[in-house]
Amino acid sequence: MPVVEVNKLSKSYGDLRAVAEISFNVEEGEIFGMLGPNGAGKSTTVEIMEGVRQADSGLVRVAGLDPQKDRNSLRQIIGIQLQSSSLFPKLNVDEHLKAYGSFYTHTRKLDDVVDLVGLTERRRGRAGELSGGQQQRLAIALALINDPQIVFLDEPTTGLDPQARRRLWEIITELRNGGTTVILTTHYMEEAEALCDRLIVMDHGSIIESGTPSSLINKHFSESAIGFSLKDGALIDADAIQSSQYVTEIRNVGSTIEVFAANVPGAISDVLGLAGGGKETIEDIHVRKASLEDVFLKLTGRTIRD
Amino acid sequence: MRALVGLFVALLYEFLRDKTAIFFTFVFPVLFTVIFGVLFTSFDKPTTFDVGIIDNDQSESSTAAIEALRLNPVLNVNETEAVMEMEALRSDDRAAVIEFMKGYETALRMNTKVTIRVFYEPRNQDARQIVIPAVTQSIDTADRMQTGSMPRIIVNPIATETVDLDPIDFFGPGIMAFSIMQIGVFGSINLVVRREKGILKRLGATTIGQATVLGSEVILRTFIASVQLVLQLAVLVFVFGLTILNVGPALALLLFGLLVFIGIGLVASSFAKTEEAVLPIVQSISLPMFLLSGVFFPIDIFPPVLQVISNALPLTFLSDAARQLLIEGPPRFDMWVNLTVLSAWLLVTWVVSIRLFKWE
Repeated sequence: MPVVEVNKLSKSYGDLRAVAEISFNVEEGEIFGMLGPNGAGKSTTVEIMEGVRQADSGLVRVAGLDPQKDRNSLRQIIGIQLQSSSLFPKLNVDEHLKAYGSFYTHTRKLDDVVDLVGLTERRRGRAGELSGGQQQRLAIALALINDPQIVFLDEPTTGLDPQARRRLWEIITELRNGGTTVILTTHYMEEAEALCDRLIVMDHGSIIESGTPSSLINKHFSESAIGFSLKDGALIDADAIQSSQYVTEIRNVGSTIEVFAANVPGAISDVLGLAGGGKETIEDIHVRKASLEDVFLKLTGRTIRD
Repeated sequence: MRALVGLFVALLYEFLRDKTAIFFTFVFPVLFTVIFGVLFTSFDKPTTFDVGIIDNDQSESSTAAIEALRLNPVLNVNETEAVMEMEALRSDDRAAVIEFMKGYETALRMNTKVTIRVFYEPRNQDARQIVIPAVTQSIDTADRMQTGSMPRIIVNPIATETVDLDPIDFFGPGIMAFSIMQIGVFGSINLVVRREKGILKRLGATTIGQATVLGSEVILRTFIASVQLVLQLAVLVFVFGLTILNVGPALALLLFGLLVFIGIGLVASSFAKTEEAVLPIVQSISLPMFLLSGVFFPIDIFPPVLQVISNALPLTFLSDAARQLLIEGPPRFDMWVNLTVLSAWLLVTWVVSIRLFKWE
């Protein structure tokens, strides 16, 4: 029984088609990811589900409610974190939670919420004086104050350093383990891969792919990526590598060359052969599994941050 | 209701922790009041006061009483024509005018009570606190010396109607109305800042509606304005000796005026996306009112062209109404005209701002 149903949803801003007839379901208790570059239509879709925006056409049901018609009852049972941190700079953590708590009939205990997001030490810290990661965790705490069934997180880790990002991933996973449905947007591939049970990939207002992260990768890449860089002054014949029977694709990623192959030992042996054994020419050779980033590149012909 | 209080408390903390805001809403207007108050007041307290005599009895008894007054070191007794003395009182050249009625002596001879009327300017604090007691004391002492114990003469102070206002009397209600305008109009900057930062959008994503957001803003502004008005009244009364009347109705009127100016501020805020954009709009609203709404000087001294502009500004009506209540100053417009114009501004600005309200 899906907790969110979206059917043929469309939304335009003037001439710009932000969302074009998309359909998907979110199951109860999962972390559902919406992956895509900026302007893909993720935020618009989320804000329509939240009842912040009105759809042009299509059907949206969240916990069985119409986000527009049943706006007030819906707001009681969903938690929202917006893309901008949108905090009162001079209010501290507790004061924020008390103010937002006063907007709901049912609220969680303040201590529990503060503990869950790891802000117990900073309860008296004013929002303006918190670090970026702490501000983001406060924004998530505000989304949890009404003990929601469904939490919407719009790019929760954008702009955070890797450590703060991992801290947030733990919190989100903990939420899901507690039975809350989490819907999150991101343009970080590794985030979608690490966090999401299922995801949709959006571009230009449409869903271009959907499934679990590993199923998406397996569907598009049975290969692994062999990455290496060349020593100063060394050259290698790319066409020769491409013509190897094991290599399906060759790419330049910055100073690194990536070779995709299903048979990793065969491909490495071919590459080393072409590079004269490799001792003088190749350094830092490594093998990795294909990632969502590779899937996105394959589907759209560009990287997600372009 | 709980949401309204919750949001108000949040806004209040935000305000109280903003040192710049505190300075400009509380300290600055009080300083402003003091500075202009000093400009409009003379502080050299006279040691003697001119009083006028109108002797309609011209008897031995009245002459004796006037002699007694002359002996009082505080009083400087003048005796000219009755009309001239009353005119002098009106132009502040006399602190009081003392009138002996015809039949004064006859009444004393018959041992019946007799009244001496003392006219004074109701706003003249010295007259009430020094001159009238001095007159009463002199007359009383003289009376007792004659009769032994039973006082026969009653001194009856009568406040006169006056036309001329002291500059500080005029300024007092004006600066209070002006502060109300500032708090109302400039408050909209905060709303724009909160919209710019996405705070309004986030609030709009909860269960609360526009009424709670605007309501909490109105409560906050009313609170700030109330504190401000009390501070200014205290300065005006205790530092500058302003005599104020009808304090309750006057404060109610000013807070009603606040709603009008909040409405104007809200309209301004709906036309601006950023703090940088709303500031010049708000300033261009407040500056003409500062100059042309009769806050500091009566509008009559302006050229007719400017008076036309004055008569279009809402602050003109609020300061006139405040003046009529607080110091019972001469009306520029009838009270009902003031209230009608202010109500019209209230209605129009609030309807427009509710229509144009945006969460983001």
